Amino acid sequence: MDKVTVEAIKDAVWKLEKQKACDLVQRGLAEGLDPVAMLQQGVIAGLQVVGEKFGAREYFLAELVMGGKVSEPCIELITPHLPPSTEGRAGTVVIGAVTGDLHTIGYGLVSTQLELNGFKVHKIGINIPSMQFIEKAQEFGADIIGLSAFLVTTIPYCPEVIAYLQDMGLRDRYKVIIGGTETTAAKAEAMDADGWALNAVSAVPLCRRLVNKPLAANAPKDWWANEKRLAGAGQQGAAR
Amino acid sequence: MIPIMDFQRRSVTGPVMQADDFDLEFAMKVRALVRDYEIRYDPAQLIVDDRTADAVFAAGLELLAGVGLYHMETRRVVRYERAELEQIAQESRARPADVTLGRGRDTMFLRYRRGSDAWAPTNYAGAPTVAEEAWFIEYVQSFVQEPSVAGIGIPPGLARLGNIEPKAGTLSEVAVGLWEQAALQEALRRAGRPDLNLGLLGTVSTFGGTLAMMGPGLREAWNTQIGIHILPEQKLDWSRLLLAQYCQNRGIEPWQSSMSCLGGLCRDAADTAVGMVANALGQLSYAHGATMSFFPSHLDGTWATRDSHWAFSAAARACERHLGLAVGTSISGIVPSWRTPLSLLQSAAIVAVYVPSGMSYSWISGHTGLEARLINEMMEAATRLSAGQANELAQRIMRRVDELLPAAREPLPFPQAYDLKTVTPLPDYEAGMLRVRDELAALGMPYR
Repeated sequence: MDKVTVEAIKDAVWKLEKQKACDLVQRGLAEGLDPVAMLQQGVIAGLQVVGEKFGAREYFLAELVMGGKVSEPCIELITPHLPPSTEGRAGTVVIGAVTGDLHTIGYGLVSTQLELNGFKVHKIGINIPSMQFIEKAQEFGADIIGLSAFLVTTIPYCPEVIAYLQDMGLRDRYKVIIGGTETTAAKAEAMDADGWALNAVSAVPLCRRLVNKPLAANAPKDWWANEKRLAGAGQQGAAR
Repeated sequence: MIPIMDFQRRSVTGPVMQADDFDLEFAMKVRALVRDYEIRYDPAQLIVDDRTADAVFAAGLELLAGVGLYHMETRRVVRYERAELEQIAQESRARPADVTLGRGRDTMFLRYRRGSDAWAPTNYAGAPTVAEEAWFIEYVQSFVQEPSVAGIGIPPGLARLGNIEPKAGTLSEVAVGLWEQAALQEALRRAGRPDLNLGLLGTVSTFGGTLAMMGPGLREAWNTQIGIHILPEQKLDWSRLLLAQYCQNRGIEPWQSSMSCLGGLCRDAADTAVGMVANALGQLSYAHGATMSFFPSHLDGTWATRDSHWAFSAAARACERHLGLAVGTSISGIVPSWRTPLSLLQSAAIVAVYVPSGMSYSWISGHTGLEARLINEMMEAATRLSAGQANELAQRIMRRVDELLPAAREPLPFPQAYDLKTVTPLPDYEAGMLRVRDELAALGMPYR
């Protein structure tokens, strides 16, 4: 049997062959393949191919969901073998639809796009009470809280989450992003959110910006980050 | 008919499943059915043939029988027996839709319609999307003062009323909703049509908020519909079932609407058509309504494409041949084109495809009263076209749309389209719209 390569892992991931991908990762670990390379050039690179195929309309939402299901166990297998300083995940996101909002597809798409780009995403569902976003962010050690709101009557729950964070002394601990049909950058700025994206693809560079990761040269531009808050958070971060 | 109370049992005893797993099962099943039934999207034939319509119906029924509905709160799958769904379809066919709304001089009807019927669809024109307090009444008035407008499909919503932001499930939602009901009555009074049906609620969306809008002088069975629709793809919750139950108890016609996303779990128009039929049957099973709006849209929120036209035609024609529903949709261009000539051209392509596909009502007709009037004219004209002629006309219009689409930027705000004092179209806006009418006539729209 040939030795496992990161290329083979990457191929299994983008071809959505879950069992094969897991087997390759397990064999790779046993054969002493570099776990960092398996993660970054294997699993995450494979997920990026899934995202590219989605953009090219070769893959659809089902394939995005499957991409997440293929990669998750692979990453779980690799993670214990990573050196502590390894940049594995780009960041951790807790995301859901706010109180009164039942729309699943929008935040589902954002979740899959973020997963494909190396974020750990915890989807916490629809019609989520404001405080629950914060509890889940604390539970999962999130960097970013994603709020999906599709209706004019549910958008006001986004500043409610921000107000809770403020009043609990946690505002600078989490970045808060919003999205949904009726949301805009102006509305995000008015509620002092950390960011807004027009669509799922644009949510990726937004989140990378918020966790201080470099952006791809061809990254979409339909997003807004609250640079004032980012500058302030940087100073506070240094103080901590 | 399945009694609504049976959905209590189904919702709490069906198989437990993660939403992701349900989505995957749905996506794979719809692909298999489209393959097995040889359903193919054909952009050259936007009005589908009988064989395709029959295949789409059979596949849609099998899809619902195979995967069921996903209850988002109990995280269980609501399952059906195939025979139950066949029975539902048979009952619908045996009782073709004949819904009366409004009253007196302003009575309107939503009826089962075949694509070949000579009568034009009902102009159930909305005053859709979000308005501002300053011109809410005038916006609605622009529609209801048009004699061809038979009812308001949906009134506008408000993002702010004074310093109140309507917040779902709170006092502010009800406060804004009550203001809207009074403003709607004022618009009807100004137009001299107090007994017009007002359709869906605007801003109010929750179960509690909806109930707070019901009562004499507000909303009653004769002047309202309540949305009980399944969310894409095949998702429901207690609020849908509770509202459906409320409609049945109060004799209110439920607003059933089936939406599916092109390029999402459904890959293309063929998948989407099958998904919409399954969605429609699911709603029929618990809500027992007689009307169904179909909304095929792309993941980025756009519509009025060849794909969405074909998907509507396939689902509507499937219903025409196998159910007794009154089928409708919104007739409008995409958001950046609202109140511009492009929107009216996109609307014309919708009309050309949908009227011969069995559309019974336009739930929204453009974004001003003038557009509702012009769309009504188009609907009447389209009844004089055979399916073949209508397809050729739609193709010509879509080629023109292709030319204009890249330049679409921003919608024209209502106050820049209408004089708010006289509630009449401003000259530039009106002239632009009338030029589209001339252009459509030149393309072959058989106006009288």
